[in-house]
Amino acid sequence: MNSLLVFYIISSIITASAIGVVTSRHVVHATFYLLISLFGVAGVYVVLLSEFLAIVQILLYGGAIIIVILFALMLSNISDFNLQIENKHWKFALLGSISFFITGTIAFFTTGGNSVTGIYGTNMRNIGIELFSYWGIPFEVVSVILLVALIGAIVVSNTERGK
Amino acid sequence: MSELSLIHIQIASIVLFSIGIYGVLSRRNAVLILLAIELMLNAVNLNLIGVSVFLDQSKFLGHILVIFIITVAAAEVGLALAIVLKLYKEKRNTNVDELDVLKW
Repeated sequence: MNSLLVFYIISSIITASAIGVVTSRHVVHATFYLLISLFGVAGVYVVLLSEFLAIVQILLYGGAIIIVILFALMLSNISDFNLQIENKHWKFALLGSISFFITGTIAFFTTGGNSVTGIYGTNMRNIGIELFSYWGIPFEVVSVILLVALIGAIVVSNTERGK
Repeated sequence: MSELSLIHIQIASIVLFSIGIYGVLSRRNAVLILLAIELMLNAVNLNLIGVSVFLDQSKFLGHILVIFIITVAAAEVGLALAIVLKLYKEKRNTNVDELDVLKW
């Protein structure tokens, strides 16, 4: 009962700040709304007894991705980003979004998710053992992906090359 | 329904994903589209964690997948922001309706 109450509070915060992300007229405000929303998702992870992923979420999203986005905005002229922020076809976007919401809600209710209760928490030790034994090769592939993305970002943003 | 169940997580996830879809379709600025994509990735992560916690109590498959998704999202944000900054330097413009240099 208590976890349901906490979940309602956190999910209303998440929804409100997500609406702030997609409707805010200022880019930096939208970024900070996204930060609140990501922290709310970390709170839901804590409610679901997955505290390791909550820590990873706060470290990587709050500590890395938001900082990178803010740095990119600060390195450019922000007032250019605020011009012409809205699309004139936003009604069609709203229609598509609402139809997706209705379809997904019907799908989730017909598959009987409301009868499933009982949270089984996990711990870091089991996740680590599973990640480094059974998922060892995908883990290495993901590290190569990170390296390639890092090199790619350097190559793309290097302006002195080819002159 | 006085206890936290799977349907609560699924509804929260689909609300977040729908808001992300609206953001991707209605915004014109590349950085704001990137933020909306982050919202959608978080909705997927939330759904995976919910299913993993409620239904899959032995294998932690959802947790592993979420770790991989977060890693790929970090790589994607770094690369996409590098491209957006490059475009901004070249064209002084990040409006995706006018970025059509790859079109022809």
